Amino acid sequence: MTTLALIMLLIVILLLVGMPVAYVFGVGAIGFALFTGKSMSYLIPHAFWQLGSFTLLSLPLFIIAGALMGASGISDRLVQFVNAFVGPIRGGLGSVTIVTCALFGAIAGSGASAIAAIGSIMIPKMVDQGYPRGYASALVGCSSVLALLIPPSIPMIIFALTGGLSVAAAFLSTIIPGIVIALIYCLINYIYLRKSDNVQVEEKISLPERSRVIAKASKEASWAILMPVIMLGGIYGGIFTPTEAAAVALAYTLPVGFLIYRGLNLQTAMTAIIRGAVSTGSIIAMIFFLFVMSRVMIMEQVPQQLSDFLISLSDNKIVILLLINLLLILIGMLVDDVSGSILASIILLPVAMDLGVHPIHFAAIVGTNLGLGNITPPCAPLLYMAGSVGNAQFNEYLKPTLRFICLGHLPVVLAVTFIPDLALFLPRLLMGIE
Amino acid sequence: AEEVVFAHAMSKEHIFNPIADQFLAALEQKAPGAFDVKYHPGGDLGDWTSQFEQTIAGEIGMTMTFPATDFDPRLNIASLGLVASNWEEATRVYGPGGSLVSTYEEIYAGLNMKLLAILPVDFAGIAIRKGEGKVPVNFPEDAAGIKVRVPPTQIAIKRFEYLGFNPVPMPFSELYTALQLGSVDGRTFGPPSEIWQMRDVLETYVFSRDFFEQGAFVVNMDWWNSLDASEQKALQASADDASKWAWKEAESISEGLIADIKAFGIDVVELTPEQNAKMGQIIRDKEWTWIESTVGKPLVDRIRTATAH
Amino acid sequence: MKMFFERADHYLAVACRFCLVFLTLFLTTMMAAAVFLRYVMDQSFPAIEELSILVGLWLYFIAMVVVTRERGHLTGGILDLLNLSTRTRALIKGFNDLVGLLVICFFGYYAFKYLFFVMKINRVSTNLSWPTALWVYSAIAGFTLMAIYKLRDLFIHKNSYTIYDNKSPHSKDAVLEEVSR
Ligand code: NA
Ligand code: NA
Repeated sequence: MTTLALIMLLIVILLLVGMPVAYVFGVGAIGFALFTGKSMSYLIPHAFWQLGSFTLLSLPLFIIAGALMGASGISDRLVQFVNAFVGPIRGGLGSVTIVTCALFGAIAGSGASAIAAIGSIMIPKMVDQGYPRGYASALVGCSSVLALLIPPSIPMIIFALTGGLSVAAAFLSTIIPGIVIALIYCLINYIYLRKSDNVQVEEKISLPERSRVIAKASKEASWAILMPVIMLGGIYGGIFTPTEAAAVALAYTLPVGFLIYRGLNLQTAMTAIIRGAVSTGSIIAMIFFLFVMSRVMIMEQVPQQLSDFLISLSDNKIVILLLINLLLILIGMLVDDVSGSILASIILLPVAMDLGVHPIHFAAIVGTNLGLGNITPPCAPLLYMAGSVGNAQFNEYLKPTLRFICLGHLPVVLAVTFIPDLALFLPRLLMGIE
Repeated sequence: AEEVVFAHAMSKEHIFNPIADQFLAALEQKAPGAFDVKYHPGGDLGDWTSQFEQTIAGEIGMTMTFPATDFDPRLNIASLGLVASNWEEATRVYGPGGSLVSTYEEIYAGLNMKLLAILPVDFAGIAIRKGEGKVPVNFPEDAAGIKVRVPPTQIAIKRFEYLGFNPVPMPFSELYTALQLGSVDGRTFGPPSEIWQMRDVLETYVFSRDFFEQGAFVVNMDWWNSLDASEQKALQASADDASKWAWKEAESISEGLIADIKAFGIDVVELTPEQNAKMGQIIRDKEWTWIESTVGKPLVDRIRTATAH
Repeated sequence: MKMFFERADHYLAVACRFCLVFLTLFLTTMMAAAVFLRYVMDQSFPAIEELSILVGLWLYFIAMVVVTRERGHLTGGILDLLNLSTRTRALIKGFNDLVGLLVICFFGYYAFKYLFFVMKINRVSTNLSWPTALWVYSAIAGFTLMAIYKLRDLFIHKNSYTIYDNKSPHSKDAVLEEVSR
């Protein structure tokens, strides 16, 4: 336990002096392995094959597709289309970003893909409209977690399958919490931007004029709008899997960008692909060393020990549930989301069931918490990723992030923990579980 | 005490969990305090192929895993269809002292692993997703045009081609979503436990028993050799106890699962003797001949001898 | 000597970028082809999983090399908030580079060890029976080139903290002359 505390302290210090997150995780892994005398020879192979996962391939494909959509003119037209509706509303684009992340969740099963696909389009547009860069990045980083709460979600599938629960019920359990978080974020966004004079707002125009604007934007954006239609239709029509959808998205941008919107030529296309690939590289490097560090922690059974320790602190159900929340956030910081859901399922699910918590209720607790761990500094992979996509520095996005977390996500986590109906309402209604 | 990592990659409801409990209890009783076992269930140390490799490397001391053909193509025989078609045959072939156990011991020894026991999982069948309305029982004609997920191995692809399906190799992690959304019409190599796992998205389970899934309880050979005779004896005896228990219980666990699946509303279909014979002929004629090119005719002949009765 | 390094760096960067474009298009085409084959032609593409992972891993590691070259790693520091002297900043950067180099060398060593292990046990891919080493080489190439670029950062690169550091990839930062301010 002391070792863990020391390593955590070292990690925080190194992160603060601006060492690349990837190397910090590497140092954490080496430090912990040296302290505990664990063999280090399988850390790399393990992390390597975790990178070699078919589902992870959607990440580079979505990031590069996002870069190509930017260069091709698809994203401009999509945003103009959206803006035709929400232009006169202060903070409209921010709310659209939040809702888009939630909707994108219906396509993608990971927060990283959401940042890649939406952040690379929306952050520059928000900045154009006068949103502070750090704020826009924080908004995308925090909203990306919504992609995990709206099914499908890779960590949730793994949690349910490992714990022997119904995947569909586990999926349904996080939908209401997800929607609530999205609504609160929209509200925070509205209140925050109300005071800001830098953010541009279109002048109010009459309804017929507005319809003309919308009609014009829709016409110009028709090929762009077709893209999400193809993606959703393809996935829910069973034509391709969510992973393959990323490749389809990329393949779609090329002809539309070259032939229809003409934003792409050989030069711009190459540049966009390289930019996207390099952006992938910086994220993959971080994830890779996070896998390495996860492995050391798991080998040493750190989550198990943390759990035993925290649960021994009290007999009170409410206190234990609060401690489990804390533990889940810690796990979300120390290990990657897939390992996190395996650990939550094998270590904490039995504890929760002993306490009389409904397993599907617990799935929602896990779902809302692990996402939170991924955006809570200092170990905040999704947040750093949003910062990178948005070209923002840590100090620029730290404060807005904490605002979203403390006023939005954290209260919902507590509500989900203590109001089981938030999680159980939909599974009961639609699947009739007890 | 001898510190050792003992891992498997299977979920809570898999038979590996009670087997591990039995094994650990027996070990504590036979050699109290001799082993400090770090038990890692559920796959937190990697999927089963990775755990297989880690046991070769000695990173993991003991694992319950499945025969991984990446490391020795001869292990393809573990996926061969209809080596056993009922529990009695399975026990005779794979159970304690079974007719193929020594063959597997040899193969694993070549991979720097000591085989403690072959573990029973279950027979597997073909499941069709909700809303599909198809019930393939006459092969190959009923299977035409049905896209089924197969594990990404040659032998799995071949078998379901021979049986008339359109096999779609797909990683397990994509399977649930693919069934839910319909990128495949069904899945193969599905033991009842996995059908129960994915019950929400399934409609029909043709319990074809074309394949008997076996696990392998293996330990790293170097580590095994480093133990003294009494420790080796305690380990082997505990593994024997656990595997005997498993071979005794597996059938009733399977029956319980099938009952649950039926109660949940999934249509469980058994093949008639004629349908079964037709499937058996395709598998023995085509698949068994095909696999000779991968693993060699002598090995296939050994299986033919071991399964003849 | 410096000329030689600059030329080597230039050609390597061009090669890496070409690889990134090629691998991306190859991966996309392959996955789109798998969808087409399955949905339109009712046929399967058995090796799609291992092939796309092979392409993906090479894409990841080459991208990591380019990131290391362009100093585009993700960071989460508060250094910009503090009023530090140029010298202190340069020291901190030097320290970060040194630790980065050590981490890369340390894990690079284990990547090599793993390569020899899979070659020794002759592990092959499930479908195509290609040597697993082909996959592992991506990590070997990645770690080796990353280590070289980190060495450059330590010894050739002027140890000043630039506005491009740790921001999104910026090609200007990869040019030796322009980086020293
Ligand atoms: Na989702
Ligand atoms: Na965190």
